[in-house]
Amino acid sequence: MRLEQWLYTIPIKLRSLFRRRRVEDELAEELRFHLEQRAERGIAAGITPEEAHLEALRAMQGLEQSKEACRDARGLNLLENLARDLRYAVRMLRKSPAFTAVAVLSLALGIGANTAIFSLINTLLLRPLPVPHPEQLRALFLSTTRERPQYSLTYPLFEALRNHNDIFSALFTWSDHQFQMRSGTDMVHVNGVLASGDYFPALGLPPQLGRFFTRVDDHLSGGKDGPVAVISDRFWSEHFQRSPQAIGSGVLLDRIRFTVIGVMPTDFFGAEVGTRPDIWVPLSFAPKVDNAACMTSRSCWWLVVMGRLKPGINNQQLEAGMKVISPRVLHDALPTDWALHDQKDFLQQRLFAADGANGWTFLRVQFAHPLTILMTLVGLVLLIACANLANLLLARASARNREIAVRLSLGAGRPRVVRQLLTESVLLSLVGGAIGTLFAFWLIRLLVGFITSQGGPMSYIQLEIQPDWRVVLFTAVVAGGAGLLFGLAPALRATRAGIAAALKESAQNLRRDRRSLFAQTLLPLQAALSVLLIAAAGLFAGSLFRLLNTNPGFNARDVQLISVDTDKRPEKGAALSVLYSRILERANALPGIRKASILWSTPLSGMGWNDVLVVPGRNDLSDEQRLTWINLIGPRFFDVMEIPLLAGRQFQASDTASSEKVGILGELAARRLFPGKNPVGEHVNFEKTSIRIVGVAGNIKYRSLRDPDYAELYIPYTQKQDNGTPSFTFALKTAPGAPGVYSTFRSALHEIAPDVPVGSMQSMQKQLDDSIGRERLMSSLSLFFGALALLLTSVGLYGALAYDVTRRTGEIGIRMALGASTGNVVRLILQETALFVAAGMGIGVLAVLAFSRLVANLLYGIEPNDPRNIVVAVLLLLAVAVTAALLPALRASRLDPTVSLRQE
Amino acid sequence: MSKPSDLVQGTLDLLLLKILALEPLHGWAISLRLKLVSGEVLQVSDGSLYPALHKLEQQGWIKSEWKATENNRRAKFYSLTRLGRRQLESEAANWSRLSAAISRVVALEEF
Repeated sequence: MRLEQWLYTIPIKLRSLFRRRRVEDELAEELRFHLEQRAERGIAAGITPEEAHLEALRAMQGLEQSKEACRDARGLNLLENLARDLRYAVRMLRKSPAFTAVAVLSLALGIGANTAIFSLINTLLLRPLPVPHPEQLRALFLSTTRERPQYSLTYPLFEALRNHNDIFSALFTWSDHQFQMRSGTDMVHVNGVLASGDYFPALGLPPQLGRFFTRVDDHLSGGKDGPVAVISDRFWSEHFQRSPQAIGSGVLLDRIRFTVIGVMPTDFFGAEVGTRPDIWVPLSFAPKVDNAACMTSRSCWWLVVMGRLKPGINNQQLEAGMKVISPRVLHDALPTDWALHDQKDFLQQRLFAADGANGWTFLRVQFAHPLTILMTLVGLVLLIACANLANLLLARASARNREIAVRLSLGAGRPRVVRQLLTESVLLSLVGGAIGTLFAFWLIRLLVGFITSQGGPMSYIQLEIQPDWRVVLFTAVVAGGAGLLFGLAPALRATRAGIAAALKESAQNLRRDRRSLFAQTLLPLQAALSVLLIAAAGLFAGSLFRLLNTNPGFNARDVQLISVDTDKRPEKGAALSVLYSRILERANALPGIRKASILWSTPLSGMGWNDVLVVPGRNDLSDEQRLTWINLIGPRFFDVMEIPLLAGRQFQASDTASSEKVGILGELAARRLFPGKNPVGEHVNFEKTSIRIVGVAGNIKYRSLRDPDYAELYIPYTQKQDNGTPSFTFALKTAPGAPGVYSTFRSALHEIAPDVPVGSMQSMQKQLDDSIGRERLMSSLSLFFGALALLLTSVGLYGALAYDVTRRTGEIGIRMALGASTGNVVRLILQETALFVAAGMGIGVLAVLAFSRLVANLLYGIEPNDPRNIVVAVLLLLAVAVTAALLPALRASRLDPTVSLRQE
Repeated sequence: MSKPSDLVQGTLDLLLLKILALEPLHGWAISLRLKLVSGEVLQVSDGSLYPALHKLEQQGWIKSEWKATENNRRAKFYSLTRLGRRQLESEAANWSRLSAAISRVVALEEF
């Protein structure tokens, strides 16, 4: 039946689409024939030919209307009209290039910003992993409340979880690891993952080539193939030229030969979003390639755990199950060497399961909130742009009153004219959306730069934003929606005015024609949103400014950091210290390097190590007072970083593993532990070793500029080599602008230790900048959006007022003829503006108060409701509004009453 | 504007199909025939007739061709397709059922 119908209808549709002229001619001829027949009948009945013809037209209810109804009945009319409307819209927009440019540009910025932020949100928060049934995946975390998730778990916790589990069909865990791989004569770093045996089976994706490892391979001695590795598609291309021979060949990673058994699918990078690992090896090899102790340690927090739910388990069952197994798991994995009250705190926690459909990334924890705030801000910017355009379109529509009235009187139905006007606005926003997409690409690169800098110097974060159907759909919906939003009201209003009134438009000039309620609310709305955006920009910029002015306690200028991996060297302990001191000695003598030292944790990298010190004879100190942050440093560290030495001495080459254990306290630690006396010569106990304090140094920002000062203890790197195999970083104070420091240092180092991989060089200044990347991101973007909001609002205000003045030429002329002064006229125009803007500002301030609560935890050193910030925002908007309004007002005041009245 | 105010929507389709089932006609002749056979009771305005015809053609129920009239004028003649004939049968059956039902209800009131 359907098929047969198509047989008849498709040729007809095609004909009316592609032979439009012919079909139109036939329609005209058909109706003409009918009219003639009826007229002939009338004439035969005895009325005059003219009357007969009119009679026939009346019976037809209008020839053109009938034609249009026939076209509608053909259905394809919709498409034809669209094409015609589009052509007409293009013509109209080209006739007013200034309006078109402003509209397209503001929409491009608005839509582009939305697309960019959404792309990030999509990648980090929305896009599911490309695995079967991603909705069954859960990420497990430990906490006292669901609100403060702690995703790093220990291996004993994972094991206990696996033993007690009856909810998940599989549980898996992994840790990032940077492998050293020999490439030619050099050692290079390769980003990799240590993954438990169920990692791949639970994710459920087949490999591109070969096989994945399973629990059978996850043993320290390996499975039937021994130590095995899965490689990424990229690694396969770069090292094996995509040859199937790759399977079975060996790669030397961290001095262990792994056999390649499989290649990952092209677009799959494992369960962690935002990283691009190249190698996956079974977790059991961790003791050989990573920290030896972590597989058994109950306080080594290095793993992320995910699970796949058994089919049919719903959220309530999951929640209940987690509650039941939590105490058992925590009991089994309790760090029994902790202080008793810490153990109690540990047992207070429980395990939670969070949605894992879109994988896991620590970026989510850090950026979910800032990104939602940014999404709100860009949404508001787009709203301002829409209000703005609605305003401009209202003005334009009034200017086109006559055109629209003519079209209505010629028989175009109101829906038809509204559709025409909407085509124009949607076209505008689609063009804006297209240009905005280009802008979005640029903005995304900027955003990704800010976000990936968070990973620190050894960044393994590789965020790739691939636009998928969600982003495309989002942009299309936003662009189309924006077009409807700002186009609909003006189009409805433009077609509402009676035909007669519109054609007599000139008579309106004398009437005090109030703008519609809609138009009146647009300006306050823009003002309110602008205040909000400016205030937000003020808050974020203020935070950044305060952070930039926070003294880190050291001088980052010309300090370069180079990390060196020596953990695969044969030297351990004291021998390794000797190796380091030889390198240091060489470095200090190199050209371009003024001073060189060595340290374990670079300031502001976010890394840290703390412990509770014991001061003999002081049992009154609380744990909080004794909590101290440790760093291992070499001689001259305080010289390199220009940290003032307040008392005592620095570490020297003579502080070795065999000499007396010494330490240097930070200022705050000295004050807390030894109030009112000089700590030099006193002793503290650290990890059951008595340490003699030999100096006091100025406090520095240890982990973050945002944090309050920490109590700090420095220990010579030579006296702490038993704590696993820590990697050290060389800190070099260079001569300003000294070239080639890196290669000089590298070759000097390789003379002493040829096979040590040298990390890239990073300046201390960059690390400092990166450590406040989030603030820099928020403040630069919010400043940009705030400025954009101001610009849009001023353009909108100017446009609306300029149009108002043009319309009220007659009224102003009469006022002036009746004796109004120039000042009176200016005041008249400004008064209205002031009213609009004031109303908007009132709403805006309320909005700021509500908004600031949302962002409080993203701010630093500034009160969310800082009245100065709000006042500045309001004043700034006021200044811009007055400037924008002054131009039309002055133009009004310069009207010559005789000229303006003659225009009537 | 194009809706027949004096005819139930959908009934017009039935009438047109029925008339065209008898012989191919042009629009003007259809309007005359409609008035004639219904004893001047059913009137379809000229403004509604042509959109209705075009819609039926779109649905594949009728087809059109240009032919000469008896006065040797060129006119567009509509005729029923096979699909249209089937449509007419089912709509006519529907109509009989409906009108019989309504008649029964109306008759019920007289008791």
